[in-house]
Amino acid sequence: MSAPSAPTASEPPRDPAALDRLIHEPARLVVVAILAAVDEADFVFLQRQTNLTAGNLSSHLARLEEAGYLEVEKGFRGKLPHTLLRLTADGRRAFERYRRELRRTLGEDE
Amino acid sequence: MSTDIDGAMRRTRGYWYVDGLTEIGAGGVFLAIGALFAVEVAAGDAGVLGGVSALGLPVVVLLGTWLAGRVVTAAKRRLTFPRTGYVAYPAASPARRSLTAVLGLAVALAVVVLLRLAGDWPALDRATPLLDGVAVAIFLMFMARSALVSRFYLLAALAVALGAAAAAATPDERAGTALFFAAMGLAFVLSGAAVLRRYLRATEAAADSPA
Repeated sequence: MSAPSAPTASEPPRDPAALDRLIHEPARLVVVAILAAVDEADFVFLQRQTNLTAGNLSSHLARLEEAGYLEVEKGFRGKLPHTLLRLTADGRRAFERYRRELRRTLGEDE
Repeated sequence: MSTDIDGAMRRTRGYWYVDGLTEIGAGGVFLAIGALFAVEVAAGDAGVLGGVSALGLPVVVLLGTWLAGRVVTAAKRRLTFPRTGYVAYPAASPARRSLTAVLGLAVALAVVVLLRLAGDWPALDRATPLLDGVAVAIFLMFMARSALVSRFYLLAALAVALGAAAAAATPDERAGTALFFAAMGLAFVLSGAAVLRRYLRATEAAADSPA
């Protein structure tokens, strides 16, 4: 996915189409916002925080992973499967860029 | 689903306080500080223990904080993470660590200046527990706001009330400080225990799902 250029503070409000559509989807936006606040979190935490079904959350995570925004580490805790999730550096940059673009689109000062 | 970005990030930071364990740990540190000042009061001005808080306070705070952090994390691994999920928070950046160190030094300097002034001004000496309460309240309100933990506002109000009560209870600044830290420690432990009890009743171990 091509990343939109980072505008300067003096630029006028942007067209909403400039927003990163992958992050802009409401469920994925919450997922990315949560992961941006931590180093890493597991699937259980994310599912509880988002109230998404396991299947729905998995599909959103797969989209983020495909885009290179998310790193998924599957393992076991004892005999139980344990999935760790963390934003990549690209993912964090994309999220920060998205927030800047959103503020600009809404005409808010930074 | 809410797309309140800041809210989602703050609630995620607030997850650390969801189980009350951090309050119980903080309460332990406060009780230890209260005990330190109580020992000093009991020993009086004479003897080796007469000025124990000057040397002991940094040790109790640093060691207590480190120990409480270890115990809280171990308890979370056993109780919280299997129930409502695991989270690792980012370590403080070097800039933030420097800022914390500078703020810590500034607070220590302010305390030293206050204590020097207190020697010449008995009213300030007597108000030390209240000032302790106000300082704790400011910290709690900052935490309440940044992590969206509303019960910290109540604890902040309680800190000021307990500080005022300790200042009124005794003219001895050290006895008042011992009273304040012991009472506040007990309040933290009771608050944390109530939150932990509610948390354990409301949650059970969850199974992971493939991502």
